[in-house]
Amino acid sequence: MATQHTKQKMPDEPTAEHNVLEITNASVAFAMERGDARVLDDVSINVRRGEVLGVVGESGSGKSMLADSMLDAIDSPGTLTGDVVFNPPEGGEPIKVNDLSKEELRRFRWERVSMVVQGALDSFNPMLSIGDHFVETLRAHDYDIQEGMERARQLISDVHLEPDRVLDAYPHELSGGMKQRALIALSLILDPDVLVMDEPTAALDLLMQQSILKLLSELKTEYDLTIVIVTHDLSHVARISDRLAVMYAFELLELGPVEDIVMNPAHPYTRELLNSIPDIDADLDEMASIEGTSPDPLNVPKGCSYHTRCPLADEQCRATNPDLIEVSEDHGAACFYTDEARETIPLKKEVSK
Amino acid sequence: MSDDPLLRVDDLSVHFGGNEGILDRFLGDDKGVVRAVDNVSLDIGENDVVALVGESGCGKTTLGKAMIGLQRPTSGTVRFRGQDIWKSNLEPGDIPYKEIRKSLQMVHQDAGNSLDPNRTIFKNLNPALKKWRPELNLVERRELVHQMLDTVGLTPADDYASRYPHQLSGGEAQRTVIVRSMLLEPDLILADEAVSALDVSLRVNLMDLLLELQEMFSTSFVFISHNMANARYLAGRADGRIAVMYLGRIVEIGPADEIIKNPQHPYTKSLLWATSGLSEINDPIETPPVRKIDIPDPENPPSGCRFHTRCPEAREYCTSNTPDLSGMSGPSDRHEAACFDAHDRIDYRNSEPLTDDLDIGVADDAEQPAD
Repeated sequence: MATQHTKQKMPDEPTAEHNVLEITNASVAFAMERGDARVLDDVSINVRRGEVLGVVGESGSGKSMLADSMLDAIDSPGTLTGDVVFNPPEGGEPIKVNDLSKEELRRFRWERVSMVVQGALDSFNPMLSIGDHFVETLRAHDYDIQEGMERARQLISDVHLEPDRVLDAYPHELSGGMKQRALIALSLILDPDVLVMDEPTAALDLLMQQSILKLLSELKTEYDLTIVIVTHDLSHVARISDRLAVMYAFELLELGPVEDIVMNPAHPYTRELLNSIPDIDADLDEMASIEGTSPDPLNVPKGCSYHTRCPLADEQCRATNPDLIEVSEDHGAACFYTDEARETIPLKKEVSK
Repeated sequence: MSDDPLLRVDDLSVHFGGNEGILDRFLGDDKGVVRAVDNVSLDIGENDVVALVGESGCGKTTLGKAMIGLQRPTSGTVRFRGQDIWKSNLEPGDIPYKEIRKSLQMVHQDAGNSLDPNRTIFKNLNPALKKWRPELNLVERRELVHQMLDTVGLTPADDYASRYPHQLSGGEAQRTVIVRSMLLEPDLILADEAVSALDVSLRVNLMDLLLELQEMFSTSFVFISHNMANARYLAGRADGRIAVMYLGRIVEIGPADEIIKNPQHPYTKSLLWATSGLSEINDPIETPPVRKIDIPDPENPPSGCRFHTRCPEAREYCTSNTPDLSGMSGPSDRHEAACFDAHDRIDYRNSEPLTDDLDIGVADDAEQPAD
C-alpha cells in the first residue's frame, strides 16, 4: 500500500515532520437498500507539508469522499473506518482526526484543516452579508473579531477583491467567480494549515478557473499552506500540483509526482485517461475515449476494479486486487502489469519537456 | 436552392429586462437592460460546423436560441434559406414557422433533465415522430427509433427503448437527446454544452458521435461551449469555424486552426491562456493576460470596445470607439476579428495606452511560486 512515501520532496524544512496528514486504510460505506455501498475503499495516502496534492478522478470515483475523510466530514449514515492522523506543524502530539469529539472536531476544522466544498457558490447564507460570514466564523471559534476582520480584509485583497465593497455585499450581489474567491478568503480566516478544495473551480469559466489556480499558488506561498485539490479535470490541476493521486472506483490507482503521472504513468487507466482528454495542444486524430463505464458502487468488480475496461486484464486481474506498488521513486501504481501497460498503451499526446 | 445560406443572422440583438413601456421608449430610458446579444451577424452554411465560445453570460446561448427561432430578437433578422423566420404574412412558397422550427433543432445542456422521467425512452422519442412524420405507423416509428438508437451506439436498441431515463448513464442520456433531435432530420442542430456535463474520458467519444452524425446526415451544427479544447476538437475535425463571444458580441471568428494557432483578439488569447495543455505542466501558472479577472456588469457594459476594461492592449481610443468585426489580412480571408490592435489602426496607435488599475499582478511583488 501507499506506505513507501518516505522521500522528502520539498526543498525546505527537511527536519520537520513532513506529512501533515496521514490517511491509512480509509474506507467509507453507506448502508443502502440494495446493500452496502463502499464509496471509499481502503485508501492510504499521506499529504505532505507544503505540497499541492491533486486528487483526480471521474464522477463517482470516490474522490470527494477522500477529501471529506480528511476532516472526518462524511455525512451520516456514511461511516468512516481507518485512520486519519494530523501532525501539527509546531510539533507535538499527532491528532487522530476520526477519534475527535464533536467539539474538538469543530475546532479542528477551520483552524487546522479548512475545506471549500463542492458547489461552493451556494455555501454562503443568502441572508447574511459576506462580512457577517467572517464575523460569524470568528465568533464561533472565539477569535478576536477586530483582529480577525483585519485579517479578513487582507485575505480579501489577496484574492483580488475590494474589501470595502465585498464585506458589505450580499452573496447574490457577487458573480460566481467573486463568490468563489470570497469563499477561499473565508476558508483561510482562521489560518488553517491545510486547505482541502473539492472541485474549487468547476462551475466557473476557464479564465476564472485558471486565475483562481494562480491565486491559490500565491496564497500557498504567502500563508504557508498545504493544498489538496479534488477535481475531475486532470489537465486543469496538473500545473499547480506537486503530486497527483488518480482515483477510480473508490480506490487509489496511481500516485506520484505530477511529471511522472503525466509523462510516464504506469497504470493503464491513467494512460487511457490521459489519451482521452481533449487537449488543446494534442493532435486531433490522437484522442480516444475509454470504452465502457465506471462501476456501480454497489457492484464493484472483484479483483482489480479496472479490469472490465482494461485491455491488459487477465485471470490474475479478475481474481486479485493489486496493491499500490512502487514503480519508480515516489511513484506507485496499483497494477500487476505496469511495464506492459507502458508498452502496449502508448501515450498519444506529445508531452514535451 | 438559392444562393442564400442555410441560416443568415443579420445585425441581431436580443435585449432582456428594463423598462419596456412606450413612454420609456420615447424617453430613451434603457436602464436595467441587458444586451445579451448585440448586433451580431453570422452565416451558417449547409453542412457547416460553428463552435460558439465564451464565458458564462456572454450571450452564446441566447444567440443560439435566437438563431433557431426559440427566442424572438429585439432587432435584426434571422433568415432561414433566405426567409425571415419571424415573418408573419406568408406568401405562396414561403416556409411556415412550424416547418422552420422542425428544421432547426436543439440539444439542451442537461440531457438527463430534458427527458420525461415517467416515460420510457421510446415514449420520450415517439411524440416528435408522431407529429412530424404522420405517414409512419407505430411499427415503422418503432423501427426508426431502434435504428437511430443503434446508430448512436445504444445497443441492444430494444432494451434501451424500453428503459426509463433514470436507468441511463449521463452519456447514454446525452445520446438519447441527440437521437431525439436527429429524428426530425433537421438542417441545423444547436448543441448547447452538449459534452460539458460528461466525464472527461467520455467527451471525445460523444464529440466523435456528433461528428459522425453530422457527416452521415449532412446536418449543420452550432456547438456552444465555454471550453476551447472541446470547441477546437469539434470545429477542427469538421473543418468548421470557432466564433468567440464577449458581452453579447462576436469578437473573433475564423477556422478552428487559425483561432487556436493564430488568435488575433486579446480576449481570444486570454481564453487560450486559460486552456493550458498538458505539455505545459512544468511551467508555473502565469499571470492572467487581462487587467481585471472579473467580467463587467452586463447591465452596464463598457463603452467603445467592451473588452477595454480588461484588455492588456487597450488604449484611450478603445474607450470611445467600437471596433467592427472585419477580415484579417492574413492567409485566411475567413478569419475576422473586432480589435483595433489586430487591425493596426493608426488612431489606436496614436492614443495613450490604458494602464489604470492593473490589479491582477500581485505576483509581481510576492514571490513567484517555485512549483
